[in-house]
Amino acid sequence: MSVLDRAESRPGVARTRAEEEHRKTLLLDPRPQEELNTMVLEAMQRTGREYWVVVGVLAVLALGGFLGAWLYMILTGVGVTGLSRPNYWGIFIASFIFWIGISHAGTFISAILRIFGAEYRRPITRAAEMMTTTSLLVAASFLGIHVGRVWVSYWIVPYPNQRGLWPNYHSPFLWDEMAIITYLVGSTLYLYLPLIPDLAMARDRLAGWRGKLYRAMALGWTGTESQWHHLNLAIKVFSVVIIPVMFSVHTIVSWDLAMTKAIGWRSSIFAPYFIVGAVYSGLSAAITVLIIARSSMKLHYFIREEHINALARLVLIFSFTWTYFFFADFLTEWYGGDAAGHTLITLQTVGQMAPFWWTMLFFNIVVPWLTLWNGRIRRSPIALLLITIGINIGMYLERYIIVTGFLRRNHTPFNWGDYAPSVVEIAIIGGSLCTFLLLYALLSRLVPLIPVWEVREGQLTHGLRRVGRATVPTVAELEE
Amino acid sequence: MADQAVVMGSFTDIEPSVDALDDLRALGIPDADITVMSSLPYSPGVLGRPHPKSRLPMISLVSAVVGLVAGLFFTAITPYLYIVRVGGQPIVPVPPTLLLLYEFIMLLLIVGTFGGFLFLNHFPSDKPQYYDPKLSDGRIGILVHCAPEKVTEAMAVFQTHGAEDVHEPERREL
Repeated sequence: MSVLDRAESRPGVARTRAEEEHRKTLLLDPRPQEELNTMVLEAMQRTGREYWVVVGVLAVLALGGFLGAWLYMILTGVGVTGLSRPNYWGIFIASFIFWIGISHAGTFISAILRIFGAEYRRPITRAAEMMTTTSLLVAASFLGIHVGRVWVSYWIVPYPNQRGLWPNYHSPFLWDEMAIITYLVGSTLYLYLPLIPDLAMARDRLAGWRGKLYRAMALGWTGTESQWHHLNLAIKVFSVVIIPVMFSVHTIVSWDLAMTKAIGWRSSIFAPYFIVGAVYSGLSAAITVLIIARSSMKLHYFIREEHINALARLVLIFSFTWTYFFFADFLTEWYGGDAAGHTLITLQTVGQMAPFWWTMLFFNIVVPWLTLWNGRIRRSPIALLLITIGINIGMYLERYIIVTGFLRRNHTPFNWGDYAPSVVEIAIIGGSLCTFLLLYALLSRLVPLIPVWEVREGQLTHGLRRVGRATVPTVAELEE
Repeated sequence: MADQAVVMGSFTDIEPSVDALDDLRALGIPDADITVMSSLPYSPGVLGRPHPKSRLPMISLVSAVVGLVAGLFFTAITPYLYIVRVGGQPIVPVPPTLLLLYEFIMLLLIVGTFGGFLFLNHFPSDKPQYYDPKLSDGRIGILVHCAPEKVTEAMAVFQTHGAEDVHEPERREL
């Protein structure tokens, strides 16, 4: 029996209980803005010993693993990787695709949910947007790592030169560059714009180096009608523009593979398949990050079960969608009967890639399907933390299989070859994860992780209303 | 506005703020001389104020057009200035050109919109401004530029509607 049903059957006591139930919703549980500001700023400044130990360890691993191993590879050459004919693309490209995928969370949660008026997005948009920016920085670095001689990576840029390469817009690698630059610029500015009023709030309340920093970053914001009007317009424009940009990024990343003649890669379904996979892994990573942030920064008032429950529902929907695309891609290759294509299927299902392939299916299909239909599991932070980490392990393996698995077999068996990432590659990959976590941990203490004004605006527009004997939440539109 | 006085009243609630705005207008103070400051985006409809017009959509549109022109220059004109002949391939292939045009349009649209936002708000600004830090804690500030003889009346309006604080503000460093 639902809360509202109970309210109908026992009007006297249960009606109050129904109201209490509704108060579990953040937007129906308002507190004075002063209190919200204090909570957010305290969370931002909560940097105890544990925090600095974590940051220190991450910094050492990021410096040693990511930058150290990368520097070693630069000094020694790409021969230290496991790359060899025919596997010219290895774990670096798989990681590049993975981090680009993670970056889709911010845009999806912030822009798409904003446009569709999903009110539960309000407290979680910024945490997701910050993931977008930090993961894009890590992703972009993999382009430099992959090309090896990173100091000449500017050769990708078409400009008049003695090599006669100018201008070459035919290559998907250049499309990648343009799409990533556009997305990085767009998502960073999209993170910054709604942050300005909160930076002004931090400016008004904090002194010292933080006060100076926020004074500069708040740009002189005073909250006049004109400033709000321009800000709202700019956010609307960005919300609409950033969505197709997001789609273009992973579409083009998928075309890096699909525009070749390699078996398994040349697929017209790759673009939507990659986008769905990106949103799937991005949403899962957002849940992971939100649960950790909520616990470590004591943000239980802002990030509630309703939020992770709503995101977990989306994760389940995207698990279904990803499975649909995966199966469509797999079936086409299997039914096609191409001998080389079948060697790939054998490689994945019973060959050397089988442990990865089955693990991927377990984490991406079996676990979410068996668990996320259950409301109690969707509201359990511990369960969701494990499930979403598992999904991202599965999604990483998917990229690993697609990039490094499909290159191993082709139409000419004398040109078959195997690939295993070297210690240097694994150190760089592990270090990149630490770099992402380090950047996020630092950023979460530098800028308000919760958009206070958006939460407060939501609380202002939400209320409870009696309809018959039931009490139902309502939301007002304050646009006009 | 050099010979004008400035009065500021701050409220804790939106209702008395809106009532005060009505009374200020009744005093003969035009909307252009009244500024509402708040930590939340109250719309003109909520405040009972005239709908502001913004050039931002036009700036965004012009930026997109600039992106289109820049994109055309790079992808469709420069290949003819620096011709690289590849057997069987056109100098300017249409699908990749469309793809890059799209990215150029989006990039310039994004940068232009952000630039327009800064330009229209005169950001960044480190000039002293009329401001009260309590505004970021949820207060609603009404700033009135009026003739010196109307200062007392304006203050009376604020006080009548229960303003938490009424004073003649100085410009201050933010």
